[in-house]
Amino acid sequence: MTLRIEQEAQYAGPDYWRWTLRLRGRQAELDRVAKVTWLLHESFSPSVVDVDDRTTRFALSGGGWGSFEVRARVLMRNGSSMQLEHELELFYPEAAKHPAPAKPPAQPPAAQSSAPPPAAAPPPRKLFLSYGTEDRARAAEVRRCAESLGAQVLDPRQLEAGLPWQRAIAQMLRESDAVVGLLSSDFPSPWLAEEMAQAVKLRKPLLLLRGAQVEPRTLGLPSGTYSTAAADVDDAALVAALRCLLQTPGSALPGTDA
Amino acid sequence: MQQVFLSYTFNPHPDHEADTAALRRRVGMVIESMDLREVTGEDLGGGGLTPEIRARIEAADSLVALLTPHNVAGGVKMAPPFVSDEFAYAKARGKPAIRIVHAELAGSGMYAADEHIPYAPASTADTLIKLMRTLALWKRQQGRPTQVEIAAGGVELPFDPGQGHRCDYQLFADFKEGDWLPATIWREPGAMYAFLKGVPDQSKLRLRMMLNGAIWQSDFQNPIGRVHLIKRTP
Repeated sequence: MTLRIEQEAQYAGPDYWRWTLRLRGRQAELDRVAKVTWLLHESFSPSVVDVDDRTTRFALSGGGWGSFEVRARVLMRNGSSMQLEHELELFYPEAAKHPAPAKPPAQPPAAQSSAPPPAAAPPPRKLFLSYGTEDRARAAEVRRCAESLGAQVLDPRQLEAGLPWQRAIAQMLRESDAVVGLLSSDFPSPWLAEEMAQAVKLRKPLLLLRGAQVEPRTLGLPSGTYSTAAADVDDAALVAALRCLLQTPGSALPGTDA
Repeated sequence: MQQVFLSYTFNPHPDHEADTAALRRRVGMVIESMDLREVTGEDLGGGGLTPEIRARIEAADSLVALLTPHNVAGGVKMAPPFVSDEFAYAKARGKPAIRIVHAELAGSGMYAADEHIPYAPASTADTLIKLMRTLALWKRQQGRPTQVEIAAGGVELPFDPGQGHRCDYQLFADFKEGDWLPATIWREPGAMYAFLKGVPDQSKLRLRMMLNGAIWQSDFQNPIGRVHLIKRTP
């Protein structure tokens, strides 16, 4: 099953975005979908919207002042169903540097009559680095290699005290373009495990640098949601892996020749 | 309680480089295993009790100081002076703080008579267990970080710290009202939340928001879910 939620969002300002959600997947799978029930934040009215228009890939358009988690209940023609989740991401137009504030709510959404052209994704540049205290030295090397590629490294240890950590880390993760986790122990830090789980939930490209004897399944992540590399790769291989992680087709990091 | 400032020497005596690094690593792992975050001054490059270090200690909820042999000219071993300064600063600010003292430094320096955890490189298990018990006690005393939703009878409160607005909370436990403490306001779609750094079990909570002279305050209630603010007349 390849179905997932795709989003487009345009800044309409001030502090207001228009967005469209639709299903993405193989044509044959989309053809098997009978209806999508979009479950929006409760501040939307209505917050539950049924769409059965296959031609728009069950698109739903709306607008609002902040990001939130979207869920979609997908009803298949054979009577089975599945649930998809997606974190709606909104960015200010200036180089997509700042994510939208998490603010209330919404303009009533409406099923869309035709699919607009897809918007280009901003080039990935921010790398979230997650590690336990035992991997501080290696984290410093990853940071150096990432910065040599022009990436900005986001480290939860840089968060100010006094913030609700889980929320602040989630915001930092949302802001990132890719995530690296250092997994040198079969008993990873609970913070590392939580950050990796959130990265997967947010569908961030995720690279686990793991020790020779460490199984990534220690973290309980679904297979296919991450890639791995040996934690002790040399700088050249690490830079190559990070470049691969940070780049999307058609975009390049500043200072790289990809 | 969320954050522990870990104070240690960046310049260990050559005889103790390996055991100092191992202790620092294990203590960091204990802190994380207790679901706490470790903060250090490592990225600040060491040095004295700079304003940046002071700010980090003040922002942290507690401090653990590793007093292991520090290297000085001539190969003399001594307690790391910056670590002692950071420990003293945390104590002066009323923070829970504990020292882990290397066997070769036992009984020296300021606060030598204070409670501490002895450390010998050959037997670290006892040291780490005592540290875990200390952290567990601090967590119980300081309480857990808590987030409550703010309701104001359908009124959207225009909270803006830039306008001088502030939000504080007060706890009631053991038949005593505590001091008013600052809360951090956090917005989510559809609601406003207050983040409280520490709420011990069995405490009651009340919340106060001050907006340009207007005071919105709740009654004491359980510190979970939604807190209802009512506009008060000064």
